Amino acid sequence: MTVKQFLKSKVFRCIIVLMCIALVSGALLSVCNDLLKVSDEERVLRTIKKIYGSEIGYEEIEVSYETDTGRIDNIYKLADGNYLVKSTGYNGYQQGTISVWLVAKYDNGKYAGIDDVSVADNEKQTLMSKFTAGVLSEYEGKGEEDFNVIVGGATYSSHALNNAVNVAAKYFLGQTEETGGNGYEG
Amino acid sequence: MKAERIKSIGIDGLLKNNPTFRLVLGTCPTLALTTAATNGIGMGLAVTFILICSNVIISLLRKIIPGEVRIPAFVMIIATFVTLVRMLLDKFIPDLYESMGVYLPLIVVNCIILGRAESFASKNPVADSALDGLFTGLGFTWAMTAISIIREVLGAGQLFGITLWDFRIEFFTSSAGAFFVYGLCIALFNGAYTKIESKMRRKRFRSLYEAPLGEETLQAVAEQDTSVKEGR
Repeated sequence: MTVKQFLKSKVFRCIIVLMCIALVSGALLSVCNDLLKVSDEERVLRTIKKIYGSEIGYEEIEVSYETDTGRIDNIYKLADGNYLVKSTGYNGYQQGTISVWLVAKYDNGKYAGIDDVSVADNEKQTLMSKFTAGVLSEYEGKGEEDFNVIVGGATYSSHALNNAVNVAAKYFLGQTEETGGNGYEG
Repeated sequence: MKAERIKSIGIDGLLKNNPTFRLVLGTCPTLALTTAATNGIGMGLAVTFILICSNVIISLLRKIIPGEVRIPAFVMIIATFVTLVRMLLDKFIPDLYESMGVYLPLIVVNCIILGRAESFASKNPVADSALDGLFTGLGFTWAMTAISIIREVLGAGQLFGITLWDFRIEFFTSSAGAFFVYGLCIALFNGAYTKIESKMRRKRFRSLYEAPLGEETLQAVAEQDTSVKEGR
């Protein structure tokens, strides 16, 4: 087949049509992506609104904290003195992970326990629907660091969820000890 | 466009070839997202928007897209609109975006959209295709809403998130409950549809039978015969 024959063939026409559709689609989506992109800041504000019911000022705190069972991903200091934390727990089902958003409550500058726990995302976990609001409320209002809430039928995922909450609790309890019970120093 | 044609496309999408109850298409989101009425309406309207847009574009390009690559071309066009809807929902209705989860990107391979693109939009003019997208989408939306209202009221004691009573049967929020309600709705819809259709047909034939034989009657019989042959 010569080049001239190829240019006149149906195969060439198919390639051109598909390429044109792909190019136009790509151009349209890239423009829309620029216009409709949700920034990280906006996502944090949405999370705060979901937990608090209203938007509240925040300040991001740089943190690097990881243990054998989990890690702290982000910490935001809220205007009301509490801390919004995203933490991830390891050792779930098929060695997957669970990430949670939670609030580290501070009362008059002193750590007062975990509150408002909600699941952010997960890896490889298949029974997340078992972790209802009732289950998540078992973590709330307690200032301990060894939570062991087990949901029947989702034992491995429960471990990951416990690890996610415990790593945050451990971090804030550690901060309290470092400051001699006077709160958080970042 | 003739009013008769609009009526025909409308009845086809909403009732006669309802994608959920008559063609049993788009079963995956129907079973998974009908736990709350807002999810059902949200998904239905998202599918309607994508159906209209993809039908219009496919109809416009129907003489340009070669038959050999029509399916990848359709999928690319549909995927573009699905991505656009995802961006819009994420920006403006984040709660609905989150509740739809994986089923929103899965609209790309939704049988209803691909089916209408292949069987209607690639063979008909733009206006007809847009109307077909609108009515098929609305047919899917009302079916989704009906199923989700039943499941939400019985399974959670709520309607559109507003608590009606404390009584709830959790079976209806489970997967088994989704299959049960879906099956029940299909049976009820088809039972009612068949009954009404046979009643209307009997009425039409009776009027033809009782009318004096003349030019008008013959024309009516011929029209009846054509519509039966075309499967309308």
